[in-house]
Amino acid sequence: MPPLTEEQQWQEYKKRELEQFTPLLTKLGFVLDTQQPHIGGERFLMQALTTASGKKLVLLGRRSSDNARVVIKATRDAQGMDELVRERKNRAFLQKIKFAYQGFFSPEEVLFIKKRSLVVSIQKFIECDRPFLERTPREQFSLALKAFKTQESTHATTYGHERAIRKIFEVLEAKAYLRKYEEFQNIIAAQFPHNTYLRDQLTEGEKLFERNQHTIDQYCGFLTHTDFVPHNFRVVRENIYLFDHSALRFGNKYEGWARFLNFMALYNPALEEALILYVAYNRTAEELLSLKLMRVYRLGEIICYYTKTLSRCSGNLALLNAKRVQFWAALLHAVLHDSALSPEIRATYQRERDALRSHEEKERQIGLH
Amino acid sequence: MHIVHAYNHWHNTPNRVKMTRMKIILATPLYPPDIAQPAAYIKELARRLSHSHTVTVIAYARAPEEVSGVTILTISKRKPILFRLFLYTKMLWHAVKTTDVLLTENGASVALPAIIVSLFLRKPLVLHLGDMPAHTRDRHRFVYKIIEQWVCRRAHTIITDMPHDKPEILPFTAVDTAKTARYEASWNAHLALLNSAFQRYATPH
Repeated sequence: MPPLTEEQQWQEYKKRELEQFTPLLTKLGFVLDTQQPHIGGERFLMQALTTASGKKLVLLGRRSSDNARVVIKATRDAQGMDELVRERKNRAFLQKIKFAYQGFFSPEEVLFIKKRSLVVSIQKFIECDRPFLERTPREQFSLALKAFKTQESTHATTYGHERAIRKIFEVLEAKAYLRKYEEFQNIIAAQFPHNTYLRDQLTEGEKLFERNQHTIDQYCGFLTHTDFVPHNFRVVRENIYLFDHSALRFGNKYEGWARFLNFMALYNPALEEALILYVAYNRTAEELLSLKLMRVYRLGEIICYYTKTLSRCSGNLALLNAKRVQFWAALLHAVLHDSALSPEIRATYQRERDALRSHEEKERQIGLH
Repeated sequence: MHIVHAYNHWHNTPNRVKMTRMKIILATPLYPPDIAQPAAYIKELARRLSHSHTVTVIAYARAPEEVSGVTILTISKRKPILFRLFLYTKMLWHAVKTTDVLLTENGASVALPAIIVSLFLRKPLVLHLGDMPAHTRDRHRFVYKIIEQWVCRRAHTIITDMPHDKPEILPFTAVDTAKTARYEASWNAHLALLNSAFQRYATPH
């Protein structure tokens, strides 16, 4: 019998874990929804690609007693358990942090169970009237800016702050960023040894990074959400609820901006441009450079991410991920040259992506951003 | 001691005062990339004062944002508190020897070194109460409260005036020129106030 593909393994895992957790959740007074979009589509590829994430199920359900909607995260995987425990610690630390000028809202915890062999974390589902990308450009801009300013308001500067955060969060400075970027380069070079275009872009990025390590360090020590994209926050009456607290760390303050701007280069280039203009008009030249450097770093990371998936998938998804590598490399070129991504490149990629995406993944994407 | 609460209490402007170029030290616990409001204030103050004076900023910072024409000396906040307090006092001592006036922001970590240095070197000390959250916090902490009371007693001039925050330029929103004008006017008045206070202590070079 041929070995199972990664997707088949995920299907097996999903089935097995649902069989384990469904009766337990029922006993605890929760009912799962029939549709579970967060465990379908390309979700299987999103496991264990970063050190921060383990295997887990993210499920939607309701509390039987009052029919309140909840989000359930459940795992028996060791890394997944660590992730959920860390996420909870991060969330708790944020509530009591002394050197934060402003705070985020977090979904209310309904239940947290940690046993030797499993962790279940249940939080209230945060309803929002419409997805972020359906808001007006002005609303999107002011909400994004508010969220960034809130992250930036937590700045660890003193000996005492450093001691407090090192126990809880990952802390990155210029040297660590550069080391990681070099790792991305090596992984990409091993997969694409003859792609000189990609290699040249990444090398240019590395040189820029090396020359400006001081600027990176200058804006380090800030709380930053490394996956700050619309599906990781919800807006309720101008309040921003932050999800996925395991993605929080102390690093360059533009790391979260960089992830968001790279994402918007694909989904809403007008917002990307507006946020860059905001930094150019209102902040220092060093900050604008720092933003550019972090965008380069995050692009190296996302290219590496999709490069690593190529050996783990097949068919249309493998084709799509190869296109994704090309697309993000084109954005890297644009960022390095301080230009906007060509609308033709964006449109071609979107067309190809939509043609290659599975039906299940398209369903997972509905209303996500 | 002179207590100056607002710019309209002071009638001298840079045009009316014959200004002597002075050596000024700005002692601050916060400086960009710190994000608290006093940090941005000190950077802007240093930039504006440097047009007519020789300005040195002494801050607790690691990688400060530079300002053309301003010397910035720093002590890292990552050192244990007593050690960094000692290093800051030492640095301030050396810098103040050749200066005309020392302006310190409120906050025990700079106010204490500033009062010690000013006392021993007999240099005029101007206290700017610009960090109101710190001022409010310190009133409820015994040691900090004592330090602030001491610095208030010993300071030659206390200034509480604070210029307006810089208006942001926001995409999707028209620029508010009136707000920008008010911001500039508040800075002009603030500088006039400070210059008038500084000129009392001017020594010919």
